[in-house]
Amino acid sequence: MDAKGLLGDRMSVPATGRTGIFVAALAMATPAEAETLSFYGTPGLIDMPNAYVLNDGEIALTTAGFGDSLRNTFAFQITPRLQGVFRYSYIRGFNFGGRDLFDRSFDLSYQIARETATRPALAVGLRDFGGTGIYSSEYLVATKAVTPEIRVTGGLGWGRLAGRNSFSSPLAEISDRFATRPDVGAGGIQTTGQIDFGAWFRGDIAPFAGVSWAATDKLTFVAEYSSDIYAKEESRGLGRVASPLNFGVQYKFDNGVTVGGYSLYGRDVGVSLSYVLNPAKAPFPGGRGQAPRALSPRSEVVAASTGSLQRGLSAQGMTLENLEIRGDTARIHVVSSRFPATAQALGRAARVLANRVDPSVEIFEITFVSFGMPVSTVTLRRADLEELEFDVDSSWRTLARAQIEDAAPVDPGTRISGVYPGSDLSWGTFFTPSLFDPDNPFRFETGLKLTGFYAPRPGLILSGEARLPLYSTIDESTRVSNSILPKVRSDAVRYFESERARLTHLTAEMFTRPKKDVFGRVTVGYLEQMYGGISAEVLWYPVDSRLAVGAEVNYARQRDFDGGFGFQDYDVWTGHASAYYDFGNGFYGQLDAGRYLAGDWGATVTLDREFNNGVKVGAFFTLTDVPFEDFGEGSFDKGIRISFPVGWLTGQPSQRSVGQVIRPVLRDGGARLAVRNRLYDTTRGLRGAELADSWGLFWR
Amino acid sequence: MRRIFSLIPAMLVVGCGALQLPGGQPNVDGTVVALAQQGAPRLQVGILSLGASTVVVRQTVRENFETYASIDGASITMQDGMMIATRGLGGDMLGSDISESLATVSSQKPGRVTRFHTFLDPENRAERRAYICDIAIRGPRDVPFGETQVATQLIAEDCASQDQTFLNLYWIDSSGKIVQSRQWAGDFAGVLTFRIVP
Repeated sequence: MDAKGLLGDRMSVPATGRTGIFVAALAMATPAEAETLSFYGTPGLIDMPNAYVLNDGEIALTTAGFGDSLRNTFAFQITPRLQGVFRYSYIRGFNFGGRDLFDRSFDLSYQIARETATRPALAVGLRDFGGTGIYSSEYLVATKAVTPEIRVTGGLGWGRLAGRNSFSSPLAEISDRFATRPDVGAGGIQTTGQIDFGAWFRGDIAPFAGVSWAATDKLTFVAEYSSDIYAKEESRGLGRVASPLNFGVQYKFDNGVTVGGYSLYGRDVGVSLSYVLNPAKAPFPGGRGQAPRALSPRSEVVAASTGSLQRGLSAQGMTLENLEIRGDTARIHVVSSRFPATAQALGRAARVLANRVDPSVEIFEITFVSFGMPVSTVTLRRADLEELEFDVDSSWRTLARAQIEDAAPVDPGTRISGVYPGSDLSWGTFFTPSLFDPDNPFRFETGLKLTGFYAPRPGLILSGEARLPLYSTIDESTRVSNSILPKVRSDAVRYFESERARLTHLTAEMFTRPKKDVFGRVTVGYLEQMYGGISAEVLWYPVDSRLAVGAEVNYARQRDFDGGFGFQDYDVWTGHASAYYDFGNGFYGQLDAGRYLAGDWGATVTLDREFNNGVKVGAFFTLTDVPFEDFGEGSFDKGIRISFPVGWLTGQPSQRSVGQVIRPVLRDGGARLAVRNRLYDTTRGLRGAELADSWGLFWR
Repeated sequence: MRRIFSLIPAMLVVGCGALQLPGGQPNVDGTVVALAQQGAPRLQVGILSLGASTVVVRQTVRENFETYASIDGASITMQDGMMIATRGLGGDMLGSDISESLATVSSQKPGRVTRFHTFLDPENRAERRAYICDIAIRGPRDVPFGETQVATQLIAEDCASQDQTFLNLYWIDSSGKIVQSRQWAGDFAGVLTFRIVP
């Protein structure tokens, strides 16, 4: 008999099953301001913004096109009120000689006031504040729901949004500098990418307005009066807009995808496709991986062999490196390579011990090892595990009773035989995308790779990787670097020219724990595809600290383009002092100050928002003593980075993640050496704050 | 190439895929199969939202916690026939305090009780929830047990928190054992049904 049969004929089931509750929860979670996304991929009408926001942490992906324009937008709700946007757009025939334009732009918007029963939501936005300036504009906008279904928006626009019926800005009364708007694109490509502080909210302003009507939960009609006259497009011969009125309809499917069809400017038909996802909501909370073996009664536990412990831990993705059972304490050192959250690995290791070590053992000391460095030690009482396994407060009680400390130096006498020397050789495939070449925004290379390592003793690793490209479109790029700096990165594409196998890295790495809370690394050899040399790093990182401080010094010499063993003439001393800070609530900051590959001095600021389930969205920029005009297109190095753990998508535990750094352009100023296995990244997941953040997985 | 082919549409596709349950390969646990062959106690479990059912085998008994494992790697822990924990169902019930419910249901008398469950949320945090439950006697019911019928009392436990409601049902035989039940395992896993396999 199936489950339905069991219930069906014997009782009437009230509608309280999963679906009913789920829908109720959704209805409560959705704010009144259900988002419709504009052609710019942000909450808005059609071509105009509104004052609404996405839910905190949400990512909106939008592709929208009409006429000669196509815009692909990634919007991220950084905080409940602050939104950041990266956009990659295409305008057919915009450039001289009818060439197409590929353009990158960044926006920021901030919701100044939330909507209340009597007052509209109010937001301010900067559009394309750091790109080429094609979409350069600012706005102040208000939106109010007049009925639950009808929302009215009105706003004022500057720059591009002041195209129609514009009038002089009241700000000009305050200061003359607000009266006219400097021509942001005037310096040509050499000035693009500079932050146009000087132009913000300057020049004339113009009103825009619109209304949306949610006819059903899924179907929304939108109409707007646009203040954009597409003057730049018209001046490039792309025609004149016929009307300021735009109309559209959007339909949201059950799977969350929204499609829209529009009539724009009395001239064009437009379509849009968008999807909003919430990284905090993994499809499988806690994953679908194997359940742990529950604790057996202590009276039934028989002391198992070392081999049995090794097998038990190995089944949980851990390698046992050291074992010592003395008196009432069992000490183990493990390398965890399956569970992304150390707390989960810890819970599994604790249960393996509880089911396999002598009943007289009361204390478990579990040390996590990374690259041969003992990083953190967690001490647990066996009786606590037995008491709390199914307790309603199992998580916080276990955490409260656990002791998390910096790992003590390891006793070599406790090493499990056969773990060292360790080695591995494997082959696989690789896929390298190359984004945003102005001639072809998506190029890639794919082929076979051979990876191997040999670890003669803990902390010493000889490793390498060779790649054989089989298919590449990256090598079709004909762009030649016009950089007037040493070409430390701008000719990166030349490293893809050779069709023969190439060495991506070949290094000897040594990892050490010189003293409490301090980590050290030295890497020698072919450090990365473009550079070889030597890199030395030290990191101070107390186990329960929000702050970590490090320093790195490198001597690097540029490698030959063919990926062989040879070097070119260029060499440089480069290095940084770095500070890492965990602000809490998932925000992480990093400041690196020092000398970059081209010999330029400066600093990089990075801010990431990281969800506990591992999804990461961040942005960075680097300012150095290279003048903007010498830097070239983009003016300074900047970009965003996005990373999704594979387990977020599949539900299966994995430490792998898929991610991409998106830079508008890769130039030579502010370029860093890409050394593998920097210390903060290799230790953070094992330190106290990260352990505690995902502690809910201890008993999973 | 005229079309724009960038990261964004590619991510859109990935995003949509995330909404469906990817079909995982069942990872058969041989030790569970062996336990079943050795005659370990079994429960038939139905997952109402999927319309699916499976048999789980008792793997561990510690104090009055009985943990049943499925061959594909999930487990459910019962305390005297009431579910107190799940592992591997998604949004798992990490732990529970069902002492009041258990006492009142066992005594087969109506009453109002509080029960507590802690669930794993999508950001790996343990979220503790409290529910007020009304326990009512629905009366005698015969339920099939193998080839025969067993006389039971049907007891209903109607629970609510601020934003969640669920109904648990227990069929209790003359010895006071829960031989069949329907119990809520949280928002994600939904309602599960249990029946002792003879």
